[in-house]
Amino acid sequence: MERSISPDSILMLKTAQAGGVTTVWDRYEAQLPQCGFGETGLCCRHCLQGPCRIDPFGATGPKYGICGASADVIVARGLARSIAGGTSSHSAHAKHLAHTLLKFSRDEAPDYGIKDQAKFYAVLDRVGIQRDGKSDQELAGDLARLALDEFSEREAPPVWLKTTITPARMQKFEQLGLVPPGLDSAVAEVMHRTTNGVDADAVNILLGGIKCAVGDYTGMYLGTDLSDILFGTPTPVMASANLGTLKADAVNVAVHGHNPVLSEVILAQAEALRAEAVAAGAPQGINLVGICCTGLEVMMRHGIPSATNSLSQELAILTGALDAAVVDYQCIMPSLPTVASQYHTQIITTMPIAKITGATHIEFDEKQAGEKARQILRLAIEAFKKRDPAKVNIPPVTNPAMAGMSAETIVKVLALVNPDDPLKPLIDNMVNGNILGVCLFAGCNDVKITQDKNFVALVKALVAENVLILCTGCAAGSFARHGLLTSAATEKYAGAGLKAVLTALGQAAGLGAPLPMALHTGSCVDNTRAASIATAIANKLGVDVSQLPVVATAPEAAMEKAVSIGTWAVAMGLPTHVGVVPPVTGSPLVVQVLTQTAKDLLGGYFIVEPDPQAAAAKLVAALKERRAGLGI
Amino acid sequence: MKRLFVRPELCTGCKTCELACAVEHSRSKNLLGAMLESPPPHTRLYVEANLTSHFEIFKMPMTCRHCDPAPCIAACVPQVMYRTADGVVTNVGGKHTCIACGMCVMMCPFGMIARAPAPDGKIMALKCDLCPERDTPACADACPTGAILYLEGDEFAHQSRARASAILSQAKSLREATMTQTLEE
Repeated sequence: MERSISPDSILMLKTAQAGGVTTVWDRYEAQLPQCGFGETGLCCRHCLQGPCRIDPFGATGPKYGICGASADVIVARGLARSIAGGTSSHSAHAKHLAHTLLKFSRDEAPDYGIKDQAKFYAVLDRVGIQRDGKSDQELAGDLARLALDEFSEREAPPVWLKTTITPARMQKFEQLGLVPPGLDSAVAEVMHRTTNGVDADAVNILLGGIKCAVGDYTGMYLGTDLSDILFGTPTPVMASANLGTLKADAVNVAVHGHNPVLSEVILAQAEALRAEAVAAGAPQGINLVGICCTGLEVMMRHGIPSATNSLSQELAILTGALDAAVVDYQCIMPSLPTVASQYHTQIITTMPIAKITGATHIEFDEKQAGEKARQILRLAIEAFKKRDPAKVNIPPVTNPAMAGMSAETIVKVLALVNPDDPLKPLIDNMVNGNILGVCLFAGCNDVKITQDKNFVALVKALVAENVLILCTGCAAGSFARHGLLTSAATEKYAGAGLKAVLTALGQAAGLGAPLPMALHTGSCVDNTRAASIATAIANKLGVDVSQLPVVATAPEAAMEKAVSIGTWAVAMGLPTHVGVVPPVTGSPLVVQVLTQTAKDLLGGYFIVEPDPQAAAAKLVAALKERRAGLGI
Repeated sequence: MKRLFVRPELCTGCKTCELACAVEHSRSKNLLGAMLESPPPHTRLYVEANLTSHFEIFKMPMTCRHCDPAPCIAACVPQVMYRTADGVVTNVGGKHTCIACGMCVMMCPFGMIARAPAPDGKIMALKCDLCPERDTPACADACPTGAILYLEGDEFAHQSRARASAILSQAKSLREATMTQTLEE
């Protein structure tokens, strides 16, 4: 199997091979064949009597775990815990932002502030905090405390859930018992009900997992709100992508991980240390690039280039020109220091809960954020002095990419066409068939799939069918790498109806060209931006999201976070495609619930299809079914 | 001929070999497809475990030894079980058809023959055929720890000798150091 279709990745993989550097692809091959019990979800390690395995053939081997759990129960428990893992990741991210906001309100975070007052007030109004007579700083404290309270065991439904979904969806969640009492308690409840001797009904366990995923949605929505308040709501910005954004004559620093709390401050200090970098022999100063979602956070707010994404993170080091990678948490390969040990690159961890043996740890805290950022950047400048010019091998590949298409921005662009009723142009074009429907591309790259192959093939097939594309996280990173976040891609690949709409919007926005083929809606925590647009359209039409021609896909999903996002997309009513077979095939019942029963209960359901062309056909069919349901 | 050899000290008991064997002997030859087949595919080797102390378990994949002379061939009254030119003991592809009498099951000293439905549904004696369509049998390919090896007989013995002599070479240097000390005293 080819490892990647991304030209910069392909070049760096040759460098890795020539230099004998082990990467994620080699480690994957070393794992083959992978254990069939794990692949099918038929392995349970939840108690010390195990591990237990169920015979996937149902032949002579065991049909039950030691405790008596069936294949269905074991598979459902495993999936629910995976959702809890994803939910806890997003919740930790959101809590981090809430704590930063709280510290700002207490004068304990001098490098932070309210960047977007309009959004701040809009969120305060939405969550029901009275503004009269209070300063922004006091209100920030009120908002942060309300946000932190979302995570505890509450008596009322989470505010960020109730105020952001359609009334019909809220009613459905209440009927089915899918409203989590709090976001952390949702995770704790999954851990409890999936431990030995608690929930032993596969369908009930899956409902528990979906409840947790509803908590995941809530935490993500909250996280995006607070990011926008602290760092600004993204507006359209031209940036660039690929490993060619690293510069031979600059100190190259990659911000890698997920949270803008760190990357924003690094960015703010990079210019201040420019003279030091120049003095060290880098005429272009400090060149900040992004890896993964923290990179996308600064891309969509400041146009910082996206060098690469999670799966190919090691390849940035192999350019020989990366002087430091500053990381926070999530999707950071523990292998980075090992790869870096063959180069001069400093790997700098910053979070007390995310250290890596072999990396340099500089603990970040909001009280002295600026000072810590300068310390980190000076380490990068020191590393630059040790850079071996003979090893510098930057792939000559860059692509332009437009980012910053937040929900607010999309509405503003639509308002240029119809100021009184911004959603109307979008709805009209869906009704008249210029736009068949909307697809949200999310999720990761997965080493099991040739990097970007599914993303690129699926998106090209969908835009040809006039599907409007939103993208986040590694999907956005993938499209950026292939020049698909551009007007040129719209001209080349979009169907006639979609092209007409994107061209009209691009003209209205003063671009003089169509909007990009895919709208970069944010980092992976920002998937709720897409959900908020769907909710606004549903509310305007007086229907539920589950009736709209809107689908989601994670064609190269890898992480637990993708499992929880996919599950809440289903809970919100979206047909949701996954291009990697998840470890659930050991239970026909679980597969049936996820792909069929969910449709009856929630409107949303999973479509598992590894082949991108077949997936495109299934997603188009799902959109057409929705259109038929609405009579359009 | 190459044969299957086992290093039981490397076996974790994950049974990946059993899965791979059953998949190889299924109609669809992939895990997901094999899981949907009826009758279910049957493994031809078996991971066995014996408790050796309170916390130690001896685990070992048991494989057909393709014995020579083979009790299963001797016990096969209808003369279905035979030895191929390559030395593989099998009841498939010969002159006669298996009648599932089970005599070979009873005679195999290792319990390596099962009386069960073949992929086509016919009940018969199922045993290792060393995966004739593959260069290396599926079990040896699948083993994540290298506990199952597919080697010429003398190659396995050679590897064992090499490991043993490596241990002895350390003993030799220790012995020499001790001798020197003794002489100095």
